[in-house]
Amino acid sequence: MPDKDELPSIDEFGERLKKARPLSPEEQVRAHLNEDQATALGRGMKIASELLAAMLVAGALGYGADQLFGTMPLFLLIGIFLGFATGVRNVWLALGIDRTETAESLDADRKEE
Amino acid sequence: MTADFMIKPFVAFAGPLDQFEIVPIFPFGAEGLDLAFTNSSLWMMISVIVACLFMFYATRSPQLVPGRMQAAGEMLYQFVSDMLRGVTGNDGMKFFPYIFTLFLFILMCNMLGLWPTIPGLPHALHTFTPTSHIIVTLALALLTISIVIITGFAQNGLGFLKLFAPSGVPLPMLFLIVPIEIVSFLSRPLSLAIRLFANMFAGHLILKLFAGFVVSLAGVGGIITGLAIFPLLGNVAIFLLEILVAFLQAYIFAILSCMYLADALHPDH
Repeated sequence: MPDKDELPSIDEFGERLKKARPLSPEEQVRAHLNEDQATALGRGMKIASELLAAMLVAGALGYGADQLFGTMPLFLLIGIFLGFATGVRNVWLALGIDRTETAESLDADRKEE
Repeated sequence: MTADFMIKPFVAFAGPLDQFEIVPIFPFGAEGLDLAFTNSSLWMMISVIVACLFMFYATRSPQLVPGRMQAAGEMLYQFVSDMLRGVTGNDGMKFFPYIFTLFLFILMCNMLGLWPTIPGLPHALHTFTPTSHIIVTLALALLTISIVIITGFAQNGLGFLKLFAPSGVPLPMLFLIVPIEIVSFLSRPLSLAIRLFANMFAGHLILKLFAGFVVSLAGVGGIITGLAIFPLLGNVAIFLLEILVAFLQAYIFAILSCMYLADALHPDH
């Protein structure tokens, strides 16, 4: 390979420098704090708040609609189910389970089979 | 009432929930509208004053080689600006004053709330954490979401509504996805508020409970008094954790605000 002796391009050099250099203190803090995984209490609070908030909001919207149209308890029930669905989705997202990531792991599982 | 009655005979000091009590300092208001200046207002004011003093002092005489205070101020600035730029890109930098103020205010409220009360002060002057009340955190969250909505419509017009209909979703699914996205959007301020409030509330409650164990055990006498060292050590550990949580929750509130602002700027992701 003739290009083995050539000097690496600036971009390559930058990449290698980035890899070789340890994280700066600030980056370390950021990596450590990335999402509130640092305390179990914080993580639990996060999941609880996501689920609770979605159900409260959707339930309140349903209740309001029922009061408006006099259809108690139709929209309240729809709202609670909708809120639960949203809450589960938000918890899913809050846990950092990326959609693409899941798809990739599913693909990987299929290949293994 | 019953709780008071049950706790009082066993412990001779303020209950664990007394620290969250709102006490008016200057009663004010009329026509059923209570606008009293309370201990909560006092501690919010103290937080703002401390934050201002810190920033004034940090920027008082800027040097090329920063002193200790200036370095701290610059680090804080850098931290928040990197966070905002990382999440929203360069066009989000116009929100820097808001995010920085929000972060500093919550950080100061959380941190100053951890200061021990000076013994002997009247109840109204006891150390108080404004962020342990959901009304405070909800107000901050609603402010953020209002800015998101106004910016979203101002920048994108009706295109902002694309936020509720992600691209690449088949038409039948939209009937389910759109309500879910709308509820999800509306639940954001509430979840933001609950998270900050619950963390501060739970942390202070645990601290106070463990402190209560120390006093109860120490008061028993004999060999059991020595056991008081364990909740004391536990409290030291929890206090250190609370300092981390105070910072972390301010950071989380600020970075989630940044994410929501990013949605307003680029609703189609």
